[in-house]
Amino acid sequence: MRPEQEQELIRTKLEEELGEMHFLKSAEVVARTHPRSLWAKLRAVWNYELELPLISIGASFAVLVAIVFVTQLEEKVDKAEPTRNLPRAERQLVEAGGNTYWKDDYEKAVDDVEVKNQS
Amino acid sequence: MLKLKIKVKHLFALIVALGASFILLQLLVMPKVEVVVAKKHYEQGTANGKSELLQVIDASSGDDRWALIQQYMIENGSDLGTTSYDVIVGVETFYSNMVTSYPDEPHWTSEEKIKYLKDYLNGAPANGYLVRAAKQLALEYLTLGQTKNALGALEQTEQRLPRNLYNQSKELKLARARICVNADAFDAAERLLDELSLSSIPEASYLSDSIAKLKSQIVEQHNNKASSVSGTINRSDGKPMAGIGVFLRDSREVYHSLREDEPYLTMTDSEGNFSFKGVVPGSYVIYIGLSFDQIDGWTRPTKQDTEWIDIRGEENVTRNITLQRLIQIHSPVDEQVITGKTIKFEWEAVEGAAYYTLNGTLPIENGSVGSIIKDHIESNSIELPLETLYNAASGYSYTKIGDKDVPDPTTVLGYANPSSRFSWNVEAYDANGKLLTRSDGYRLNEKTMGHLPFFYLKEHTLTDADQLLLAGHMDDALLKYQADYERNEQDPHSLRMIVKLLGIKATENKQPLGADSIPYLEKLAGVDDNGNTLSSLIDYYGRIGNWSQVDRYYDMLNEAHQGKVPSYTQAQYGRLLLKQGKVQEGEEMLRQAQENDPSNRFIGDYIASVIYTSGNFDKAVGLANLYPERSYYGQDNPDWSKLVHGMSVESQGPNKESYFSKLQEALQGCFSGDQGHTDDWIDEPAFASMKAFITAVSEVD
Repeated sequence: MRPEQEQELIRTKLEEELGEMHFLKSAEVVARTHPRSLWAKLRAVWNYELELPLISIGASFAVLVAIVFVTQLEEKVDKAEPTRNLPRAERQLVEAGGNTYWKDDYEKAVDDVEVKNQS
Repeated sequence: MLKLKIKVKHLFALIVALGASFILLQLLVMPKVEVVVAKKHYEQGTANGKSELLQVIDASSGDDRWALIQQYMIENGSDLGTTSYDVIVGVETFYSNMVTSYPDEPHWTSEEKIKYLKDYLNGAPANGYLVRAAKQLALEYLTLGQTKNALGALEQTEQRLPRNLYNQSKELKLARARICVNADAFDAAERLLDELSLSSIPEASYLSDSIAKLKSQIVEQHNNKASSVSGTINRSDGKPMAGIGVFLRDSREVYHSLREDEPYLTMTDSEGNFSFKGVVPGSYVIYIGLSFDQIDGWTRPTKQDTEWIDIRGEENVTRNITLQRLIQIHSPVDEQVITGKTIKFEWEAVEGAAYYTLNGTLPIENGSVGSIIKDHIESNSIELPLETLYNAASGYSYTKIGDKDVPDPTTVLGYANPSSRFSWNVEAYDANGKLLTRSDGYRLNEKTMGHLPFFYLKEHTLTDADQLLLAGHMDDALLKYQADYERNEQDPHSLRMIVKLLGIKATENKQPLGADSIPYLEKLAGVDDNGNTLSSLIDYYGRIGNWSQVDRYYDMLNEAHQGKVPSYTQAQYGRLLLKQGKVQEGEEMLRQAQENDPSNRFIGDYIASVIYTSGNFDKAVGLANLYPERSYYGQDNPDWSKLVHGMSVESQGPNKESYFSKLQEALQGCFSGDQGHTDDWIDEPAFASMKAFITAVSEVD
């Protein structure tokens, strides 16, 4: 069989088999690949697939989140400047030489005079 | 490189989601953080802590809000209990919790408390906190003089309480009754107390006790002749002390710490005024409750025996209290080391002071023991020879050496121990002997702390005997001191230590000083110008009945004190006079002692001598009423008035004729310490009152 005949045969066969099927969305496909209306253009953008470098994006995002969080917290904490560095949840009294002192103040004062007396 | 493929629409969704979570963070999480931060700032006492916490409370609602009010207002708030003050100041006593939580927490004002507590009472769930909130709110109203609001708050809360909090509602009713009594609304108070009595109350409970006390207060107050105690508390700079707890304590209660069920508790108003109405006759003393801020740098100048308030009925006693600034000390301070033969004490002069008393303290394991170094100092500085300090009577404490409790050698050595860190304080008195102020007290901030009152005495070099003593070999040390003294009779240190160690030995054997100590005591009496040894000699010769020696040493003591013999020694001498049968002289001596002794501890002896010489029971009852015996250390002081009255009645009984001579016989036995021969008849029921009196007299000490 000549090649032309063979081609003709396959084509006939195909047409027989696919004769029942019709491609209906040709217009849609064309509209997608070559959008003409605004709506179509927008949809194209909406579905556009971006390719982003994961590491740099992730890193910059993390930095951003951190900055936001820290500034939020600082704003609250800085509102009132603590009058002293250590939080004093508990303080002890001590009786010494007939007086009653706060233990931390007393120990500091004794250390101070001992340093002074030695020098 | 790693790449992420993402569609625009998915990216958009992601951004929206992030934005939403950010908003959520702002709305839900940040307020929580704000609460935590505000709480912390409040507890640390930072400048805005209070306003931040109030903002947080205002912004919150429901259970969160109630929890905040509970934690920060109600829990550490005061409902006139005894626990709500940092420091309870008694008479020469201070009590405070040694550990303080959140010392820097700011205080709420009345307005703040009223606003939030009112809110709490209206909205919060009914539980135990509600009762406390109601009582605290009532207290705030009372300090503002709004009695009606106070009663209203309590009543309203009582109605809100569910049945299972039945007991708490009784407590609220009792609180109302108490307010009514103090506001002279007796009918209302009685009605409330009757309601309470009708409900089932267990006998001998706190509640039944309180009801009984209130009822007797009403009876007392109803009586137009009821007594009252009132006064004002302020500072010497004129500032009235508002919100101070004032506790009028019965002499039978002061030996224990302050309790909630003591009946006379109140709080000063905004002008510093307080008052107690319907005070039942008895002896009382005022305790006050303050915050650290209020006591810091200030003191309540009191002496034990001058603070008693004796209510005999129909009296309106005014007792004002003025807090005075602590005296600042100048030298020796800050652990100064003294190496010379003298020491100069110097302090800030006090306006109106006629004289000062200088006290020294020796360190002991958990505190210090103090004693007078020098009395009646007329200027605000004095240079003393160290001998004066060495001779000062100083106590000693016990310590463990090995597994034995022994007198702590460092305290026995006293001021002669060069490695002890001593401290000192000073008291200022006016011309009438009234304490004005003192240098020791609460010093809780940089400004009030001032100099530390510590110094070292390094003039004395430790001897071999001292080393033995410090090593805990007390007996060997005594032998060594005695040997040293025999070698050199001009060695006052060894002599002092011998006397001290013999005294300690006698105490340990529970024996009075023995005859072997007397030669040393007599030698020391010759060199010690403080007169401390003389009382021991008088005591010794009194015990063995050598009256001429007693008189001799009493005269010496009189001279050493320039005629101002302490009342205790005066009374002891009076007792010795009674013992040797000189009842009239003894009575006179005891009368003088009584005049100088506000403690009235020897009134029993005085009354006994009066009865012995005059047989006049009425006079004795009069004295007993004038000088009631009371003490800070016990509750079973004899009621001399009652005891004498009992005898007065008994003497009119069947033994009328012989009663007085029998009483004299019994008293004689009592004075001489030999009661053997009265024992037979005094046990008869007809002499029960006499026996009670004699027993009480023999127990006077």
